[in-house]
Amino acid sequence: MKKLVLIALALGAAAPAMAQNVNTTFTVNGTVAGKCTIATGGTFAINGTGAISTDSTGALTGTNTGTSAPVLATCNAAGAQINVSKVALVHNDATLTDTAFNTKTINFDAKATIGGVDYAEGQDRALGVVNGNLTVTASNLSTSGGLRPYAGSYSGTITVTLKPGA
Amino acid sequence: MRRGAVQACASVAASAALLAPSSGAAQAVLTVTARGNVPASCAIGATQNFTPANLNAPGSAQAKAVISCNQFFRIRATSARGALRSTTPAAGALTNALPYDLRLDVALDDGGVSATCPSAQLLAGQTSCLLSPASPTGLTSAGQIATNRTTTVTISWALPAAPAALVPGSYSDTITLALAAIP
Repeated sequence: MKKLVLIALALGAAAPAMAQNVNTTFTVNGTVAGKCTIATGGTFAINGTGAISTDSTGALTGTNTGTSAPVLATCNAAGAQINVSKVALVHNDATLTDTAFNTKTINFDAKATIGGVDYAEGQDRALGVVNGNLTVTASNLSTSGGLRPYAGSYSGTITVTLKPGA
Repeated sequence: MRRGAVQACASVAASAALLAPSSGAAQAVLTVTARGNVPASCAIGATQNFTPANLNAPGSAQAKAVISCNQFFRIRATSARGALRSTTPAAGALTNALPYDLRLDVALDDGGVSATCPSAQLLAGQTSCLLSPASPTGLTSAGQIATNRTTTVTISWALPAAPAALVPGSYSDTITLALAAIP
């Protein structure tokens, strides 16, 4: 009996590896593209009411400003950039022409604000990952050479472009 | 068994690719319109009144006013008496009224406009002269505005033809210039 047991063990050592556990590893890869989103834009009025302030001579005062209502903006890429551009306020009466004294164009400084951080106009600026409210602001209204703006209605635009990066 | 596992792996990878967002940069653009309005602002103020005039001879006198108006405008004039008048009663060939001509030279930011009207046509309700109070058009700024520009107000008179003459005394009239923005 004891001998028989020894044979069985020997047979076990020589058997194929059919009963052993074996492993292999596979890697699953995927990519998420950089993406930025902004809600739809709208319209905002300078000084809240749209009334642009001038002094007794008709020149713009330095107090004119306006900010849009907040909209949600998101970017999921660390390399995201923001670009702010604008088109100056132009009198709605296309028949008006500038003179040596008067103008139908009002310039302004434009900026975007996301999550309390300001981004000035003019060039691509680092933004990174964001998920928060975006507002745009027009300020420091001015005219070329201090010309007096014609009375009447003006409109311009501020465009914000969020780029997710490479 | 191993072959089967490889097939499973390929299948999972394919599923992962389908779940990922589409490749390529997805930028977002927001355009917001800014609107504003520059209110019409017009003002006129006398800066120099007429100096006392010698009415014993033909002559003229000038006054000045400054106009600031950031919109096209029209201007009209009203004479309270229609002439230089004295409170002394007229008697015979002596008259107590001296008609005059009123001329406005309105300086604008680019150039100027002018008009002349007889004082009798500047009484309230008159319409027949460009400066008349009820003139349909008034003297317009001709597509210009004025920024602190001086308007010269000139009255000129001639003495009554003989045998008429003026009664002695003080003569006066009040001229009011009214400026209105053209919408």
